[in-house]
Amino acid sequence: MNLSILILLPFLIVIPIIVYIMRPKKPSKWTMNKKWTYVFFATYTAVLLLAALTVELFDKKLATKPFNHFSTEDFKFIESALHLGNLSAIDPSQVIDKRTHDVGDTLHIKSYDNNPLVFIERKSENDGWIEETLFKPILIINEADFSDQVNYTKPEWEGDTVTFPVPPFTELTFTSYQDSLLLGQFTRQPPKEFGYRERQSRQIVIYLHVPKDLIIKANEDFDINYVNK
Amino acid sequence: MYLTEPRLTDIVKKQFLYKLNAYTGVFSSLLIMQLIGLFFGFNTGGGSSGSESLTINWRSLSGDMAVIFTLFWAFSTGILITTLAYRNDAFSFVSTRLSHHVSSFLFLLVMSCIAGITAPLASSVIKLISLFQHNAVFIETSGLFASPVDFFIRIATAVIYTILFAGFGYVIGSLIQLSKLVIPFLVIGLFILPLFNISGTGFIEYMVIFFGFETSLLIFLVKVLITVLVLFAISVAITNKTEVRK
Repeated sequence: MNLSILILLPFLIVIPIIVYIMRPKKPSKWTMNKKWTYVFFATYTAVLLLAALTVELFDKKLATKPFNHFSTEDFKFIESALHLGNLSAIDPSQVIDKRTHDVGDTLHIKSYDNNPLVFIERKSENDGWIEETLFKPILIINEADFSDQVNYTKPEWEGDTVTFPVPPFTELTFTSYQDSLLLGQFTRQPPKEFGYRERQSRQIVIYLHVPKDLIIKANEDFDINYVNK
Repeated sequence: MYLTEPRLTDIVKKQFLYKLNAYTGVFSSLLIMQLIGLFFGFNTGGGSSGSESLTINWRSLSGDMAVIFTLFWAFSTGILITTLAYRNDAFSFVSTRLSHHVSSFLFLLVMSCIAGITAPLASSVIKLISLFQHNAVFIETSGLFASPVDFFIRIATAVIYTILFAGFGYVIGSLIQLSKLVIPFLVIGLFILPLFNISGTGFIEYMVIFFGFETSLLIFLVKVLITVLVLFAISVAITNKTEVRK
């Protein structure tokens, strides 16, 4: 809510109260029957209790299938392993595909999007094959893993040319709920900043094992991470 | 000289039960205020962020507004039951100023307990509706089953805060009954002057620090009890000279 509205809120509430108190006394045209007031209030309380219990049951149900936890450290670990070429350390669930492509003396890289993450590791021999490992995109919001909801397109290979197309658009919506901050003053689990706290994201990673002397031609602004083991 | 000398406790009990039975408007106003709080709770915040290929839309829901509106309700109820109409109702019985104050105080105490319990529960409705949405939901506060102690601590905190606000309302209501001229002074003193950072006028700020920064529930309870008793004593003292019935 807008801060100015929050500041004005006491005035908006207190002024009508004062006006109400100061108003000339007139008999009310409509008053709720006493019995109905109690019926309404009892129904309201019953609905609240029912809602509280239902939420707890749902909470429990959700707890059996929570968001996969994915910390910033997990993310950094994967990125570090990629930079070091230590692919065996990365969880196999992160790999979306492994392909091989035959190649001549030169590999041409074409990209319509200027930052796909590409790692190239040279082999110790010239066997004429490129081994391609594709790692899935990552999207972590508040340490919950939303990676499976990110759309991606695999690189397209044609002869000695690989093309990285523009990734398809992804739109994600989430809701964050927290009980009253004021009431968390004495709880053992202190209330934390909630909502949209942090995000780690990247598109797919293309890791290429290429022949030792392969010539790689790409745009000047295209960033390639060469891995030296 | 009377055949039967009514005891204060009997009068207070009678008046208290009468008020509980007669002031049904207090129940309906609580219900309305909490429903307004629930409505605002669905619009706490949100936004959108992203890049060319990724957009993230997020929405924050919280139980804060239900609690805030409950506290406003407590404050306004404290003021309302000091008004002439309510005061005249109370003197339908054989009563004294003290019995009127004690029964009003007990009435506020009971109503604050009811409001304090329903305020955190009201946010369950927001939580429940958010779970029925199609998109992902982060529940950032553990619930009754996951952390029962925290759940009851939240309810206790709500009850104590509601009592405090009702106490403030009651003393302000008593001041207003003393003289209507108090209203502009209160509005200027409590809300206008602090906006200009004039030293010594930050009463609300001081209260926020005194109560809001307390970390022990027990000390907080003691602070609120002492404050409410002082406020009650002030109310009794300042209305001592007012007419019993106009």
